[in-house]
Amino acid sequence: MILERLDALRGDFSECEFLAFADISSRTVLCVSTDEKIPQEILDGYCATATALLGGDVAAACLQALALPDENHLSLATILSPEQSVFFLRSAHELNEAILCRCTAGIDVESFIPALRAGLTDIAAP
Amino acid sequence: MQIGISVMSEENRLKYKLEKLAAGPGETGPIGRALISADGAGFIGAVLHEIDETILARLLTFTNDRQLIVKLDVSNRRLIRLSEVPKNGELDLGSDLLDRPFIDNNRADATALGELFGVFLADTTTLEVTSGKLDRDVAATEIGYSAEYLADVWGVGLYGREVVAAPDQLDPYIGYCQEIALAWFRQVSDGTIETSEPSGNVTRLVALSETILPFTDKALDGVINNADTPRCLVLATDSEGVAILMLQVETSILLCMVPANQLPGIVSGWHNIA
Repeated sequence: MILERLDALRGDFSECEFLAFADISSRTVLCVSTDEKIPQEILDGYCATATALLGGDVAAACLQALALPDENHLSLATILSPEQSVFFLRSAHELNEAILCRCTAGIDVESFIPALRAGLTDIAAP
Repeated sequence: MQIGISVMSEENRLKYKLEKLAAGPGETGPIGRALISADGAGFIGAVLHEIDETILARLLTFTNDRQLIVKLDVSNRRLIRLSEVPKNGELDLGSDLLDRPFIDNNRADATALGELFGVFLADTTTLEVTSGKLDRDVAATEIGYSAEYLADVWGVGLYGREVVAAPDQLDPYIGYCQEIALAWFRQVSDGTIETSEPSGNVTRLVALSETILPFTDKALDGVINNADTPRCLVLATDSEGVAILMLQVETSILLCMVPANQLPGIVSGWHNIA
């Protein structure tokens, strides 16, 4: 079910190279939608980065800079390199769960991020 | 009692999630991947990248257009042994190196490996790469060659044909980020600091710059493992209000508070840099 949802999301956005569903509290990638096998080292690296950016010291420093109370959370991390866009989106319902994805440069963020949010909501739904 | 309830809830959550995961077809998809490049240099960079990304002991198998195969034992991001070359004589260059553990840096051997891959990758348009279990123990003496060392000996870039914008090409983009920012802080490579109009936001950005940089550098290693690559990081909250933007080019850094709804422009602007 989760894989089907991820596959459907990726089918709508050809620029999306892979989508992974992860438990960032345990740094575990649970499910990956991709055409080509992604080396485990890459997935582990993405998961570790998502954990570090959305939680821990980086998140705490950002929330302090934004003058937001502690009960707020970082939910979206976007990393742009010359050739790729990487997104980590954390579930609003299950803070331990997140979608990690890597896209090529042409991704339409305006439609992609809401689609990711909807997908994550579907996955978290009972 | 509170703890007991919390633990049970977590167990149920994981159980539920695993049940949902198991409901899928369980297909693993193709094992391995095909690399496509217009020239041999691109493939050489790709081979080095594969070595550099392999941490556990693995057998990497490279298959070219002519179905010729080269196998490498790789461990701890280092090439430790050449374990197979085609037996039809086409790649005689590798026969002296075959099944010999690479104990330390040997420029002659590394050069011969480069020549082997030069022949192997000539006129290749698609290179298939698979990573399998290495069915032998790795000796402590098998130090092998790092991708950086091989790239140096072979005279190629470790990251192949990656496009890296020159710093001055980024200036218009930096200007754009400053324009949309509610507040910004910039430190250029000579240590000069610039900020937007002094405000509480600027003060907090300055404080953020002092705390966040060591953490983000380390955190981003998992996604961008070349410290010289320009990168832009945007961190946003659930509230869709204000996001933190960090743009890093070599030793220069720009930190901004930007409206979160500007993300589409931030992403497209970044990738439109000439």
